[in-house]
Amino acid sequence: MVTGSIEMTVFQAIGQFISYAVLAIFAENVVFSRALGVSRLTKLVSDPDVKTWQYCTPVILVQLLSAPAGWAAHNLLFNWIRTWLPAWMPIATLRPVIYLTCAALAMAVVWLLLSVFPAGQRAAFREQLPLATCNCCVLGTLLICANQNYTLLQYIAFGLGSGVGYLVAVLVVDEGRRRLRSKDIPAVFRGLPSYLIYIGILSLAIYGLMGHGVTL
Amino acid sequence: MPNMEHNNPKRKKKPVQHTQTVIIPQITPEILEQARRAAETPPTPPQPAPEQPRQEQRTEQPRPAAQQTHAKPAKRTRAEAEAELYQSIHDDHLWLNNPVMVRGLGLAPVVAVASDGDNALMLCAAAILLLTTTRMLAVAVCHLTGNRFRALVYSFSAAVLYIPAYLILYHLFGADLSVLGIYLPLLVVEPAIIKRLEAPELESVGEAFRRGINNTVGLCISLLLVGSLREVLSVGTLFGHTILNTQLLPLASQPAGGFLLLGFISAIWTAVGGAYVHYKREEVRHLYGNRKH
Repeated sequence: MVTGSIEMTVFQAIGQFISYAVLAIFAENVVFSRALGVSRLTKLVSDPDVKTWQYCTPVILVQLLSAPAGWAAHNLLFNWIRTWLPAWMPIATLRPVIYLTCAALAMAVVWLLLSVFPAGQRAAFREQLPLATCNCCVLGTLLICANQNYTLLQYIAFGLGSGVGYLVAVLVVDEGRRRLRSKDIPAVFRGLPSYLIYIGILSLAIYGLMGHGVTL
Repeated sequence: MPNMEHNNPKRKKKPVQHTQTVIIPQITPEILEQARRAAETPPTPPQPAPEQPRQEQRTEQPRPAAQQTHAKPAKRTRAEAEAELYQSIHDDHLWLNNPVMVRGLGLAPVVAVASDGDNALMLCAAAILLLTTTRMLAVAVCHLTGNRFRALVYSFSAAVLYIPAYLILYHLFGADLSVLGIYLPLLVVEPAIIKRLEAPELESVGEAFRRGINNTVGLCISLLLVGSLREVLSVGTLFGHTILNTQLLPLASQPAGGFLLLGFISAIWTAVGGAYVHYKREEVRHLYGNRKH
């Protein structure tokens, strides 16, 4: 009975992990449902010097590794800091500094982990690593998880899913960019306006699929 | 034989006929790239003519200042005039190089939470408190660190300045601030605030102040425009005052509607700005067309 119970718990945990990751990739995609990281995305798809994998791999790794740090900060560090803060200073003032520190710690770990890649790829990843860390997508995911009071497992699943969701969004918009180069599109809509309208239509599709907006 | 005459390569070049056709080009990425390069290139002093012998140059150097003042000022070439035009486009963060409408910065708060005038106003106040101060503090720190770790310096500068900024905003707006959700703390990594970290050139603190103010004004105008328009379209009010009795586009309050609406506003914005740039380029071409480079 004990073995069966443990197996059930493990399966439940795996199921929960997958469901939160899928939720973050599709239904609560950081780009299409919350518009996080769109500014960088529009630059990335029109920049021929930076490849998609070169930017998105560090984003996914930083998202994944900053999730446990964010959980620890939310559940342990904030409770401790609250006891020291003066009454006139709300804890919300320190959220960006603390979560940014979590992301910076994750960046340092990713910097070391990238050593396993070949020299060429390593240099390309490390070049984009600071920009990937300072992406709205990374900090936004930590803040969303904190607002939703997720567990550690949910933090990690949602962080991984958000990173992969950002990659999916970049690939979809990049494919759209190729098709949007048609001469049938009026000149005034080429570039940023067409990207925004294209992302808006995809966002509308996800909104229609869910039937309601996500919590901002 | 009109065709032969038309195909004759030795025919004289006809003067350009300027028609009244209205051309509405976009502010293309090429124009913005030229503007960016023009801004990055320091103004070079006028070079002496290459055919002048070196001996003559040596003899000219010790001329008294009185003689130099009588010399005619050098006429501007077309290249210099175009460089000045591109510089002015680059510096115009209000209209031609607006951070939101043209450069696509700060899209997350504009699309997600600037769904009514009040939210846009709160975001404007946050931008006023954060943008210029972050840029100045980060530049000052970068001068100390030798312009290294720019990403972390800019982000943490914004995060540190967020502490007093939040207190001021809370004093001004109270609990309404919670409507902005995650997008208020997210401003510390918003490209509209920290975009400068991508530029390897280190600007002076004074320059950072000037550009920061320009960017702040451009960002605030975009926020207020989009926020007001979305409020009017979605609920028919403007800053809470009823203007229309119907909801023309309820979707405008959602991020999807924000993307679509911003796309259309951006297209109109760049079309009008592009027409003005085209006019100015034509003006430069007319004024300096006969001069050699």
